[in-house]
Amino acid sequence: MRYFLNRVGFLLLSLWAAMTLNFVLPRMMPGNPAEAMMAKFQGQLSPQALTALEKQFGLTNGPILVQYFDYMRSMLTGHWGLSFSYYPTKVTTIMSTSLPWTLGLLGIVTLISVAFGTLVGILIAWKRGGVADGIIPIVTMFLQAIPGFWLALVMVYFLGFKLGWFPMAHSYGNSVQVGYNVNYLFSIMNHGFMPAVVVFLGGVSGWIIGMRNNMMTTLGEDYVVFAEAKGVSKSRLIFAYAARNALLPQLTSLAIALSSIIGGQILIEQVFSYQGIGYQLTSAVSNEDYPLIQAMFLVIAVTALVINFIVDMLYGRLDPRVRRGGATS
Amino acid sequence: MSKHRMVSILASSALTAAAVAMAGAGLTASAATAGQPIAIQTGPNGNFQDNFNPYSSTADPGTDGLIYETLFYFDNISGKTFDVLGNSFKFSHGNKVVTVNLHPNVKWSDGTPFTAQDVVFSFDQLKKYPAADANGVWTQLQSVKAVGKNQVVFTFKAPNGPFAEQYVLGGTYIVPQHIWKSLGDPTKVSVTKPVGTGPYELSSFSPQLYKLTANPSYYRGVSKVPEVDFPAYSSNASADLALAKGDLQWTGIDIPNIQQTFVKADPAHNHYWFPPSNVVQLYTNLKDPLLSQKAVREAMSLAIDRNKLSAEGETGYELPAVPTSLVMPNNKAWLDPKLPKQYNSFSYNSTAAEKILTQAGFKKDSKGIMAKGGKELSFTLDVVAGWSDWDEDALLIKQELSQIGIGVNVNQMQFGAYYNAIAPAKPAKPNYQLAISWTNTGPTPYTLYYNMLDPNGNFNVPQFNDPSVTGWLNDFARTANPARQRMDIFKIQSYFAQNLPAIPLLFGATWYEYNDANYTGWPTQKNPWINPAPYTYQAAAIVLEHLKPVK
Repeated sequence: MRYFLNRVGFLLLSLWAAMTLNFVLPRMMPGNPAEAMMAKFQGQLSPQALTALEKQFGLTNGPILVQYFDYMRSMLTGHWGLSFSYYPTKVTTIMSTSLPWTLGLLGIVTLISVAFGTLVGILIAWKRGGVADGIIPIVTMFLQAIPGFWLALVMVYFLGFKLGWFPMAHSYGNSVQVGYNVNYLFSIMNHGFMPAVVVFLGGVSGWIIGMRNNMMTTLGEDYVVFAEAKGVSKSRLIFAYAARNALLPQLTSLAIALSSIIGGQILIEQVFSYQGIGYQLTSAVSNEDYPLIQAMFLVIAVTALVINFIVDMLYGRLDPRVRRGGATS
Repeated sequence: MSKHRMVSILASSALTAAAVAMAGAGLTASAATAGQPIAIQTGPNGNFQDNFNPYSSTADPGTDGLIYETLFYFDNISGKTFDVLGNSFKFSHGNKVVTVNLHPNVKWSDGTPFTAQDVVFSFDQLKKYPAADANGVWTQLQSVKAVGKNQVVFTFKAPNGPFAEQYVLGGTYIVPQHIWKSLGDPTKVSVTKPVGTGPYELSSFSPQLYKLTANPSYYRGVSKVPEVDFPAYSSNASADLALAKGDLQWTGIDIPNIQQTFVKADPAHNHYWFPPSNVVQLYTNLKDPLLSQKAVREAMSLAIDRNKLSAEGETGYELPAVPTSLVMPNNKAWLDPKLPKQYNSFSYNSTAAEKILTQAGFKKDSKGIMAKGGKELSFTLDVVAGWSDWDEDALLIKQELSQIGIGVNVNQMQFGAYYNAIAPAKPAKPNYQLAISWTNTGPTPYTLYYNMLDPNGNFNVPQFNDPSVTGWLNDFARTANPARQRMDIFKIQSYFAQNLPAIPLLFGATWYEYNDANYTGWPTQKNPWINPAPYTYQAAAIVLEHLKPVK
């Protein structure tokens, strides 16, 4: 119980810190959103527009503390305001049209690569020194070393542009009926395939190698050797004895991977013109769109913290040593 | 460049570079058929938000021009005036009053008749909600009154012809009173079912694609292009490929190596034309004691090889500017035929440049930098980080000026900071030494000169102030006599060329690529009848009305 309270307290404290930073950082950027908008239009907008934009956005020079408390109140009550760069669209609207696509694509791919990578890691560790153990880590590491957006461009060019096997852009076909029907679902999968492959290849190596190395350590532990000597069946030995303990560090990595999902694969989304949050995130930052930046980073921070909290809790369950504060016996 | 520079976020230059490297493909044109949609891309935009509000500067492309209209359109490339909701206008009372005759029998797309009251209402909205008045029309307007159903009379506080044309007649979008009167502050409304007078109506929307269809009762004739599609692309690289593949027919993007990547894919139908849109300047802060000396600016101008900037910095898409700072050939009607020859183009001569400095009393000091009285000609040059062509130009300028003993320190800035340094909101003063930036242009050279050279100008980056120039500008604004206006511009252009209040570098390009397999009548270099960029929405609407299906 004490461990739990401790963790909750930490969660709340770090949430507050994240939100405060989120308020301070955008305002430390030089210029203001109205000026950023002027720069975006490069003389196509009448120079008078600066005044009008400042009025629209309600940029006030009120005391910073008042602004801070206003900000805290509106963040906590879910009034995230209107985006500057898509004025007067609500920040929540922008996020609700793009966030699910990023979460859907990256969430699924992450889970697949964790499951696949972990399994492969277990198997090649068991057959360590074998052919698979010699080839798979090297090949996947090579693929991981290729910059994602470049691989994406190559795929778009050859598989999309030259061969026409896959659509070059967007997250579903423009002719399909949006809704719960087979065509729509198929179209989403078809459009998501290339980005998914790029993300998968970019991440799977870490899971394989991480798991392989964890397995190596646990396989050398006395209790595993003892179990083997005792005649425990091979599959039980691998999965119930060795892999179970080797999984713990993977869980930490999973928490990190999941919390970085919303940050998205910005460049990859841009290459595929995927309907995710990547473009919105970069354009929000370069346009000094405070409300959108704040909302997005709040969501990112909260997700990261909550996932970490959950993992902390799981750790407590899986490994009693954590709960008891490091006492080993 | 246009707003599409925005793309430069992160590694998009790397993206395009990679796309180019892989380019070049033999594709066949789609079969020519009448009634095909035209897909437009105005620059990377990410997901579209469902907002077609003409009061919003970030409304979806096509809101202005295609759905909502202005009274007239004044084209900055051809210099022509196009009638839209207005049929004619006349200045009177010493240019203080403009009377506009509206096109009769215009209907809103919901069937309600359009009247002069709608025009008055649209202007009253701007007065009531200053946040919506992006052009500041009420800083100049006295009143707007309807006379009968088809006439509107604008009265100005002081005569200002160019302002009246560009911002009042040509820059204010007219909205239906019967809908907007109950919407409150127009800048705070997300408009998802727009009702306009324009040649197109919104027919479907999704964040990755929206479609406009031709207004079946358009008063200037139903467009022959039945559908215009706006698909979303979040990077230049992906839009480039879609264009080469034929998924897009009309774009306004900067494509590196365009001959290989785009034209070669279908040489018969893929065309481009990058007419100049403005003059990119090397701005010099005239409040700086060294830069305020004409000899220094003259030497700098002479030492810059503009052909090299054009070829290496801008891949040949933007040509060298001229000493008068006119946008050529767009402004050729305003060029003084008696202008001395040396003011028609810049020359490049670093020896002569160095001589000008020595004659002005500068000497190279121990560091090899020209100095006079202990003050070195050493400056900081501000550019926007990530606007890669200008960044390259800045480095070339640094190299060239160092040869004549002028030290340049290139300062790449995030654009908010940059804009704040060169054009801060008044009353703050610009705070920089050298900067590369654009100019504001309009249908006549007045817009560029006024904004840069008038003490009240809105883009007076050099902080220039000379009563004689201000006098000519005022005269241009007040008079209705075209011959006198020409004389005013002649005087200013020769003053500019002689005194270089800023150093013109290159003509900024308008981005325009198109495929003419299905439609003809596009603006071309040979027939530059209108601004061809799809992101100049008013012009785009007029282009679409003029396109004809290929038979």
